[in-house]
Formats: sequence, structure tokens, C-alpha cells
Amino acid sequence: VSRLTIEGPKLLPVIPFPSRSLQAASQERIGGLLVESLDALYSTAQHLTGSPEVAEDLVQETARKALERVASLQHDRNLRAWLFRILLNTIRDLLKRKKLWVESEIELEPEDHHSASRLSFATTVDVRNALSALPTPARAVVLLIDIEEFTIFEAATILGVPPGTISSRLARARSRLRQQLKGYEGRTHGKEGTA
Amino acid sequence: MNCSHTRQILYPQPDRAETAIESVAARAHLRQCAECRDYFRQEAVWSCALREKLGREVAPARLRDGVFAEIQKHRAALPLRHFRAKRLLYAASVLLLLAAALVVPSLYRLPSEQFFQEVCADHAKYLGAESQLRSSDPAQVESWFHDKAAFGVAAPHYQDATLLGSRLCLLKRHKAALIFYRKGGHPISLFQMDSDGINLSALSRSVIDSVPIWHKSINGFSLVAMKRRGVLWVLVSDLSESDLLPLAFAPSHQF
Repeated sequence: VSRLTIEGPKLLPVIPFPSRSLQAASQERIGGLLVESLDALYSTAQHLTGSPEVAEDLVQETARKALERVASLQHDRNLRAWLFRILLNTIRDLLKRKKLWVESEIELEPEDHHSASRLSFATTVDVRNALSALPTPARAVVLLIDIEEFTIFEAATILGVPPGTISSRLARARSRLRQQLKGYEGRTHGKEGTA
Repeated sequence: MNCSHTRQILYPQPDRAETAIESVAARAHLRQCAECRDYFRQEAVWSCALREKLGREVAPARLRDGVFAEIQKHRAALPLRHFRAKRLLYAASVLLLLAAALVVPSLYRLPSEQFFQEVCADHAKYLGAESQLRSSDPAQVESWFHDKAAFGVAAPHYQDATLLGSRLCLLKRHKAALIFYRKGGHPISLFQMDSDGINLSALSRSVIDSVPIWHKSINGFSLVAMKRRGVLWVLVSDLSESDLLPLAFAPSHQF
């Protein structure tokens, strides 16, 4: 009786699987970055939600998500932008559920001039109030570019909108902030003048 | 390029603009236009002042502890998660291999089984030896097929078996010569057809005296097949396989 021989077929392609050392290294990097960026993440979350407790929960959730996604992480990524993207997505999901994230554009008002001196006369509370009066998407752009010093392109990646939209939102948001802080300049000057 | 266009292209700060929006013309305008340079300087000062004024909130100690705990938890779970994921991957691969080993051969064998079932069905259909040519003369049977089959049909002589006649038949689009015999009251059909494209995987293969033989019992009939010069010979009968095998090795089968 003849012998039946079955040749071993090449059945499966090699499935890439991140090695333990690679994952551990990524996890260490993300862990380090989380600790380093904790204040920035918390501050951004608080400015966007207006609540320290909610901001705390959101940052905690961001940390959990980031650490869970280590395996899928590409090593050439801008990790800080990646971390903020997770945070902003988490915030946006929450605020959209509460109908507090509405993609509306601020109308651009004509400016007489733009003076940074207005900011020096306004108190931190005034500036915070002016910032919180901005629509949430515009506030997010100001926070990412002016406070966290991301580029237009990084902010576009984080928020998932085109760079042109980010530029436009930033210009309008800055214009609105200047308009809102306009009164402080004169009032403080006046006070100083009478003193 | 005018001021408005330059400001639009390089906004918010020329040094932070990236290559995709960089424009040689906008930069050239900026070098010449003091007003635009002042505009961008003011924007940079505004941005810096806003950053200083707002500052950063300090994350509460509870959050810091929570994030540390999360990092520790993932650090501790990494080898286990990695091991579990790897084990799952291997388990899935093994299951896939098993499934392939079970499914692929049966998919390959199915047409072959159907074909030989039809061979047996044809044998059953012509049990009464309904011949197109009734003859017990092998030479006459062979010459009858001469202009009907594309291959040379042979009507062998089997000891203790009587040649009854022959006919043409079609088995799953394979043209076949069917020759009827009777041995001790048992009808025997000998099918001959071009072996090209016939899948024998449904039959058991044995090698007897260096000659490969395929055999199987299908629907109560014994079936023995062999290949001779590109022609497949299939003997079908209600006789047992061991009774049919000597016919397959009859001297008249050897060329």
C-alpha cells in the first residue's frame, strides 16, 4: 500500500506581534509622559469642562486609555499630541453627550488694534471668564496653541479638523478675547489715573 | 502678495508655520512689510501674555496618585497580557489549521464522491445490460467504439465471465464506454474513459505488484479502478472487492 505524504503547507503569514520589550519600552515612555504632562492635561480638561472633578475623571480615563493602547502605538508618533488627542476625544464625547460641544464659528469682529497690554491689566479671573465665554471648539484651539504651544498642524491632528479651520478658529477666538478684555484696559487706566 | 494674504498664510506665527503652508512669496512680503512684521510680533506677544496670565492648573494629588496607580497596574499586567494575547493567537492559529485540515480535503473530495456515485448509479441503471450493441465478440465491441470514443476501447476477456454488449454513456460530462459482463449471475460493468481531469480522491488507493489500484464500496456496489495508458478503467459490481480485484489483474488487462 502506497505511503501518503502530505507536505507541510505554508499556511499562515507571520502576524506581527509587538515584543514584550517593545511594549514595555512604550509603556515606560507613555507613563513618563503622563506624569510630565499631568498638569497640562488636567488644566486643559478643567478649562474645557469648567469642573475640577470632571477634569480629574477625564484625565484618569485618558491615562487608562493611553496605557491600554500601548500595543497599537506607532513609535514615530508625536506622543504628546497623541495623548492630547485621547484627552480631547474623551472630552468631546462627554460634552457632545451633554450638548455642550457645538461646532459653531465665532463671527469675526473688526478690531481697532490688537494690544497685548489688555491682558496685563486684566486679572487671571477676568481672562479665565473671557476664555470660558468662548464656544468650546474655539476654546480648545486657544488652549492647544496658545497655552500648550502645539502647532496649527498638531492641533488639527488632535482635534481632527483641517489646519485651515484651526487657523480661522484661532484668529476669531483671539479677536473675541480681545473684544471681551477691551474694557479692562480703559478701566484700569482710569483707576491708575485717579490714584 | 498683499498683507491680508500673507497674514492668512503664515498665521498665527511665521516661525511656527510648517512647510505645507509656507510660501516664498508670503515670506518675501513679510521681509518688506513692517506692518505685517508688527502684526505677527503682536500675535506672539498676545499668545505669550495669555499663557502667562492663565498659567496651568496643578493636578490634585489624588489624580496624581490615581495615574501612578494606573501606570503601575499596566506595568504589572504587561507580561500576563502579552502572554495571554500570544496564547490566544496561537490557539486561533491551531483552530484555523484544524478547520482548514477538515474542510479543504472534503471540499476537494466532494466532486470525486459525486462522480463515482454516478458511476455506480449508471451500473445500477443498466443492470439488465441494456446494450446499444449486443455482442459477445470482443473484437466487434472494440470496433463498434472505434468511431465513437476518442480513446482506444478494449473489451478484455475475463475468465468465467460472459461479455454481453456495450453502450456509450456520459458521466458528469465525461464520455465513457460501458461494457457489460455477467459472472455467475452477477452483472459487472466495465467503464472506460479518458483519465484526464478525473479526481480519484474519494477512493482508497492501494499498490499491488507496483500497480496502483483505487477501490471503494459505494451504495452496496464494489468499485475497482485502475489507469491504463491514459484511460481509466472502472469495474463495478455487486461482487466483493476481493472478487473484482482478480479481474483487474486479468492477463487481458495487461498490455
